Amino acid sequence: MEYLTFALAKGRLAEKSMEILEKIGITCEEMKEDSRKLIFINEKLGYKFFLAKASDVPTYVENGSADIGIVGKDTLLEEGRNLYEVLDLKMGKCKFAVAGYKEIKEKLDSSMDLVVATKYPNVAKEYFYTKKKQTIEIIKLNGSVELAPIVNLSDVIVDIVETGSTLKANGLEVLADICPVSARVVVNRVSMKLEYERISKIIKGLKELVVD
Amino acid sequence: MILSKLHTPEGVKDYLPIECKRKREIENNIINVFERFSYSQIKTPTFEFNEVFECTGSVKNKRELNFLDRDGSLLALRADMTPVIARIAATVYQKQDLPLKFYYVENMFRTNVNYQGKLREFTQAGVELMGVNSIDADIEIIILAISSLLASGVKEFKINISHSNFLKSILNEALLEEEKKIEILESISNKNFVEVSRLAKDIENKDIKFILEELPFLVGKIDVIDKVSDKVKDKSSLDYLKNIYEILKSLGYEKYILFDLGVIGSMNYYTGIVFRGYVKGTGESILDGGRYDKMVEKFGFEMAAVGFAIKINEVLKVVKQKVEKEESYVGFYSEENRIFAFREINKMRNMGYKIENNFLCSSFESTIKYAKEKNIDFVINFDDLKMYDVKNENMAYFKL
Repeated sequence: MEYLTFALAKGRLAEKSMEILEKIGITCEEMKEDSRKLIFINEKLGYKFFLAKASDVPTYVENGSADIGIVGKDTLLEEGRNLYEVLDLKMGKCKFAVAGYKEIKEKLDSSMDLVVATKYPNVAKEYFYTKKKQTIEIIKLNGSVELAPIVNLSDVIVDIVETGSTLKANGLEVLADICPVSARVVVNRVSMKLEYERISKIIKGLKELVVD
Repeated sequence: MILSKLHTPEGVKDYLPIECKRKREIENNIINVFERFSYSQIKTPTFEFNEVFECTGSVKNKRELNFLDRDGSLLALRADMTPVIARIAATVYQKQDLPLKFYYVENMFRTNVNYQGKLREFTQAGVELMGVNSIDADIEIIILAISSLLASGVKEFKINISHSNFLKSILNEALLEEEKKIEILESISNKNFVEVSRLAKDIENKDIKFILEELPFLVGKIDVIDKVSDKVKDKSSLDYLKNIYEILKSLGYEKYILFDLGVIGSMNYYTGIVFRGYVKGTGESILDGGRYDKMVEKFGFEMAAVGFAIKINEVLKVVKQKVEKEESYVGFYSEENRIFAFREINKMRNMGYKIENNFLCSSFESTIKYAKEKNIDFVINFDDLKMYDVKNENMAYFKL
C-alpha cells in the first residue's frame, strides 16, 4: 500500500489536528517523541506526517508532496492555491477583520487613500477592491501588525483576530469584520481522484467529529 | 547584481541532450497514435491577438503572457491551443470540410504564481475533433486519450469522466435562484466544497442536497452513477455516461475508466463530457479534455467539438524510459589523411552510421580514451584502417 502523506501547520493547530486524527484511528507515536525529525511515519497503517509553516502547507499539497493538509482558512485565502477544500474542522476559530483607532472609522468608508498594513495583502485586496470597491495603499508586514497604526505607518490593519485582547491592550479595536476563519482539510487534486477510497473514508470520519 | 545573461527567467528551461531525446521520443510515440487515428498536424503562430484567448478564461484567472505590438494592440503568447484551432476552424473551413481532425504538439505559455516550481512555457500534445456531436466521437476521443497515454509510456493512469450538464441540471431541479446557482457552480469550479456544503444547507430537495454534500466523493467505478441515479429526475447526462461506460467496457477499456461527478472544469467551457487523466507522481492532471460545442461559434461559425491535451512535461516526470543507445563511432586521422577520412566518414553517414569526427585528440590512444568517456562503441583509425572495439577491447581491420 502506498503511503498517505499529511502536511500539518506547525504549532497548536498541528497538535489539535493530531488529536482529532487519533480519534479516527490515524495515529503516529513517533510524533509524540521529542526529536529533530522532519518526517514521521506510521509504517503499520501507511501514513506519513510532516510539519510545515502554515503558509507552506498549501504549496506542499498543491504540488502533491502531501496528499492531505490541515491548515487555517486564513492561509488558504491568502495563498489562493489550486486544491480541494473538503472539510471545515471548526477548530482554531477566529476572523479576518479591519482594525485601527476608533477615530479612523469615518475615513474607512470614504477614503480613497487609506493605508492598510497587513500580513495578508491578497485578503486585503479582495476585501477592499472587490467587495468594497475602494482603492487603498497596502503595506506588507511580516508580524506584529498592530504596531503599524500606533507608529503611524498605516491608517488601519487587516489581520486575524481571535479574542481582540492584543488590539484592546493597544487602544485599537475591530472596525469591520471581513470573514470568519477556521481550520480546513485540503486535498491534492490527483490524490482526491486516485486515493478516493481511503481519503473519503478519512474525511467522512472527521466530519462526524466536527462540532459547531 | 544578478548577472541575468547567465540564467533563464523563472518558469522556462533548457532541455539538454538526454532530456531532449526522451521528450522527443515521447512526443513521437504520441504523434504516431494521432496519425493512426487519422488526425493531421497543425501549426499556429506562437503569439496571437489577446482576444483569441479571452473567450475561454475568466478575467479573474487571467493567465496569458501579454505584450504590445508596434501599433499598440495587445498580443498574447499562445496559452491554450483550443481557441486558436477554433479560430481556424471557424474562419478557414466550410460545412463540407467537416469533420475536422487536427493534432498539435506545441509549447504553451502562461503566467504562473512565482516561486512555486511551475513552468511558464510547457509542451502540450493534443487533438481536436470538430463538426461532430455524437457518442461515437466522444468514444473515439476517450479511446485516443487512453491509447496515446499508453504509447507515451505512462502506466497505471485513470481517465476520470464526468458530464458538465449533470451539475447544471441538478441545480435546475433544486429550483434555486440564478445568483445562488452561479455561486454554487463557482465554488465547485474552485474546488471549495466547504462553501458548496454551506450554500447547499438550506436547499429543500433532500436528494439534491445529499448530492451536493457528497460531491467531492462522487468518484469511482460505475457504481457512483448508480448511487445518485435514483435521486435525480433528469437522468440524461447520467445515462449518457453509463452508455459510454458500457461501450468502453465491451472494448476492454474498463480498467482505465473512473467516473467523477463533481467536476465541471472551468466555467462556461465544456458542454458535454469532461475528462481528466491522473497518474501517481504528479501533483496535477496529466491530460485534460472534453466537449466544447459553444466555443467555435464565438469565432462566427457554429461547430461541435471535442478534444484533449496531454501535458508532456508531466509525462516526462513519470515516464522513466531508457533512451536507446545507437551504435556509435568516432574517427581518428592524421593531417595527411584528412581528405580521405572526411570522405570515408561522409560515406558512412550516408549509409546511416552514427559517426563523429575527433577534434581534440592528437593520437589514436587518446581517441580510445575519449571514446570510453563518451560511451562511444568503436574508434576507427583512418591512418591504418584499423578499428578498436571499445566494449570487447579488441582491434580489427576496418571494412565497411
